[in-house]
Amino acid sequence: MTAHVDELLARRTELSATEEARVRQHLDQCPACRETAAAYASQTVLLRAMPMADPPPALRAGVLARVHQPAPVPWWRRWPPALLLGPAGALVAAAVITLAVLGHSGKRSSSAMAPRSSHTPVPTQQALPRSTPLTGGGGFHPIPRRHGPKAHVHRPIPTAASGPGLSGTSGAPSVAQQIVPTFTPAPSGPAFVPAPTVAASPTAKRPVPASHGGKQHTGPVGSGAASPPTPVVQPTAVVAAASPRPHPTGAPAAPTAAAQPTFVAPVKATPAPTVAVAAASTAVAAAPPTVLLPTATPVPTPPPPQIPSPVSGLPVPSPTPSPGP
Amino acid sequence: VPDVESRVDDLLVDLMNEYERPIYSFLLALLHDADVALDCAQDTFLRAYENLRKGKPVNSAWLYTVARNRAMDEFRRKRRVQPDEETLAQVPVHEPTERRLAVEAVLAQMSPLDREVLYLFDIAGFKTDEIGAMLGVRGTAIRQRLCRARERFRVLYGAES
Repeated sequence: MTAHVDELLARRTELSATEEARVRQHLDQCPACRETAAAYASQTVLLRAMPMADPPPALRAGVLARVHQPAPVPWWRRWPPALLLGPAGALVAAAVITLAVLGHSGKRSSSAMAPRSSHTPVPTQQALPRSTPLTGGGGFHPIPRRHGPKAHVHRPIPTAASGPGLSGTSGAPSVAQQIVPTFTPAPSGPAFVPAPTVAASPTAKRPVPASHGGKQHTGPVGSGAASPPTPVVQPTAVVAAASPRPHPTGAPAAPTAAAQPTFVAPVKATPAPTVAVAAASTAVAAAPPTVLLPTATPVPTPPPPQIPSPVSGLPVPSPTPSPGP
Repeated sequence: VPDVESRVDDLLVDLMNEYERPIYSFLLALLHDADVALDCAQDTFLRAYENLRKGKPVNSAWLYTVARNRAMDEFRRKRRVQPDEETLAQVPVHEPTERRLAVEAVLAQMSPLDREVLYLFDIAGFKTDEIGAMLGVRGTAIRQRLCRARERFRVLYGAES
């Protein structure tokens, strides 16, 4: 009972009327709990009397500076296209030359062991009769090539790579190595492709600056960086600024979350503006209709599909937003 | 578009006018490090700015949760559990009194979890269920923790005074 009463006393400011009545009834009979109640109440007074620390001016200055700084341009956009294409072209050329040289040498080595040509179906024709007992078929069935005329450039690579590991024996290539072109790896593609992906990571940590760089959206990943610039839809700003400060210095008033002002900003959304605004609450409708789609829908469009707009989904009056990770 | 963006900026300024001191004080009470509290507060308001730009709502609970999570990241990263009394003493405060110093000393000796529950309940004014939602635990756990924190505070404050 005492532990339960202690817990009630610890949160006495949020007790319901019935709980408070029970506590009072118990306190009338228990001096120890009365002492505890007095100690806990004094804690609340002491803590609420604690003055708040003045935030240094660097706090606001830093936030506003980082908000208003122009978007840093990624390094791959800072380079002129010629410089960017230069190394890329050199990489492609190097890859092609390497593959060509390897293909040539591989062709010579394999031709020394067994006559083989990737252009003619001769090896396939030679190998097929050995594989017919396995497939049960008969005759010549040309195997369609999957990689086109460039396949001969890549074919020596799996032969050289898998030859010692798979067979371990010298001699002619196996049937599978000869007739199944699916062992040929897919064309490696340009080696510089992942570079933008790797280099894009710094943008994830960067705070979202004001888009002074025009439509060059540089927000966090997934925040619309890949979306085309869309018109600003909701010009309403719902600020319940009338509520008092949550805890003024020394003031015993304890605001609850229900009384917290909620700040809702304009949003850049997909062109579903009228639905979004219409679906908003009356508080939104009461906002000044200043920026309602200046140029987004010049032509009367049919009612947009019911896209779950981020605006219409917002509980405007007093939601409890979910803080992200 | 510039008009709307300036509106977001105005909202950010309003938000900072309302919550700059509470959030910074909360972080300072948790972290006991003015520099780290400053960084965490800046990150909190930058996160709020991102939310505002996306049209998402921001309110007090959201700010405290983000600030608290950011402070916990600092705890995990730097293992800065021990309070820095000198740094705390240099923080400008209103009307420094011996009682305030005693309360600060008591808070400094409490664990960060107890401290944050006491702060969120008594100073920030949240209910235990709200604190549980903010911290990702049940309200009953918060009530037990609050009870323990009060007992701890009672013992420490008695020793201080």
